Amino acid sequence: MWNINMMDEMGKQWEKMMKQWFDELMNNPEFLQNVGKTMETALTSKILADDMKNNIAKSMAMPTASLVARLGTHIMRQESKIAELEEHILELKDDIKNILNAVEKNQNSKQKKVETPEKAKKSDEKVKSSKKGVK
Amino acid sequence: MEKEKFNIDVKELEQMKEKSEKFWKVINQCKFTTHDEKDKAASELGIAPTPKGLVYQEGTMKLYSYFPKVKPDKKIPPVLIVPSLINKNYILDLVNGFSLIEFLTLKGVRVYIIDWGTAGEEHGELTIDNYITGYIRRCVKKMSRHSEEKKYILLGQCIGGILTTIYSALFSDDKNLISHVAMTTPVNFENGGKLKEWTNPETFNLDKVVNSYRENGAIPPEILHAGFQFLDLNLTFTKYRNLFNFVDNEAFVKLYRALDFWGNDNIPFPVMVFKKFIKAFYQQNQLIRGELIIDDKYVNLCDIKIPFFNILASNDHVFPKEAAIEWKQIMAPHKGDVEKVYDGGHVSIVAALPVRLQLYNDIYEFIK
Repeated sequence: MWNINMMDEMGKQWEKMMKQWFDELMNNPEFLQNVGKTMETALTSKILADDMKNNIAKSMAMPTASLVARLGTHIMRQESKIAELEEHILELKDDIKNILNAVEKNQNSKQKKVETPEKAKKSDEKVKSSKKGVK
Repeated sequence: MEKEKFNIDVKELEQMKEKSEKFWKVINQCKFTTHDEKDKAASELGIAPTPKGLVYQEGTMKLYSYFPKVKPDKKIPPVLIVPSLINKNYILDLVNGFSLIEFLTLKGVRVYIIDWGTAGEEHGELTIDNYITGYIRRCVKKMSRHSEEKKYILLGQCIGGILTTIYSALFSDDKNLISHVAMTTPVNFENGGKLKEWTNPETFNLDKVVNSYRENGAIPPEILHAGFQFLDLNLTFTKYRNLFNFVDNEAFVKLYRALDFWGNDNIPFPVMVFKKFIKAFYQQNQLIRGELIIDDKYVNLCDIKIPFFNILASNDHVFPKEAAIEWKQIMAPHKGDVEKVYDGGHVSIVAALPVRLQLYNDIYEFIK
């Protein structure tokens, strides 16, 4: 009796066969060489077509695709340089901020040091005057 | 008896016909002729669901920060995801429940991602060096400024993993880089599989390809991806067979459509990056030999001194796991190094199979 599962089985067998055939094909150096040659021919045609387009554009005094590409590349390079500079400036800004913080911290601690002997002097004087009073 | 047999067959055939109609409907739903149709499908499928904000832009490259879904865990440094150069990055944030990024943001991890954008004519002179020491380096700095956290973690996927690996080696003195996750990232291209065979210099004229696309600035995705479906013919068959078998399962069909949407949404490969990628990696295997030069410096993988998590897929048809498994032999082991093989394919381990949840959790455990 015909069974629907048979179709599934047939499908699986077909897949297996196709895979085997394809793997053999892919491992065949002659086939790969021919694919390479076909691709080269197609690419040669592309180069010729691009050259033709460029020549037409040049004869019409229009910018060529490669010229526009070069312009785009130039803009990208400048953008990258600006980005690097921006990052450098931000790093310098951070460094300056850190230096300023350190200087401020240093000044504060110095002020505290200056304040401390003065206070000590004042308290000494107070002690002396109180001693005199006792006498 | 005969009649009974006939009845059963007709019923089965009718079911099959119904299934076939549904199957072709889904196949047609995956085809788009206009951008509007594509946008409509993307919103219908809920592609890239995690909300994000732009942090930095340079040319077509953008750095995004994902909005945290819970209070950010400040103990975990921010993670910078570097995606592949030939696919869109939303494979890591495909749809709800199938998103590594969603998982990490729900755990309070601050996630940043690079979007390379679409390479055009202006990318013709861009080299792999520009990507590593330029774009990625600047993104790291922007990320640390944005997150107000100097320490960071790199997570590279596919070709992005190669970029982050080279970065980790070149900037090994950067004390703020604390760990590195490499997802399906090859290091030894001697075991590069079919792609290695296809790019054999004897049969593949690299210079001709590069020269003919120099003006375009990038290799069109149609050229690159034409061969991808032939990398593993079994995978292509299985994909359609599974769709046919599970066409009544709405969740399966939705995921199938989302994956197919991503699979056909490819980006061009900058031509000079393509050249170096094929020549230095596939044809000369320079990375593992320590012969690769980036920005006038030799890339020595032994310089990497941070713990790394090497994620491998057992059935990776793009970069066979044999190409990625040699880390241990190249680098000195570090405390905390993890290497794990997940049962699945190059993409399915992160965006489809149930094993993805294990992977998400393992990544979280590694970085926390």
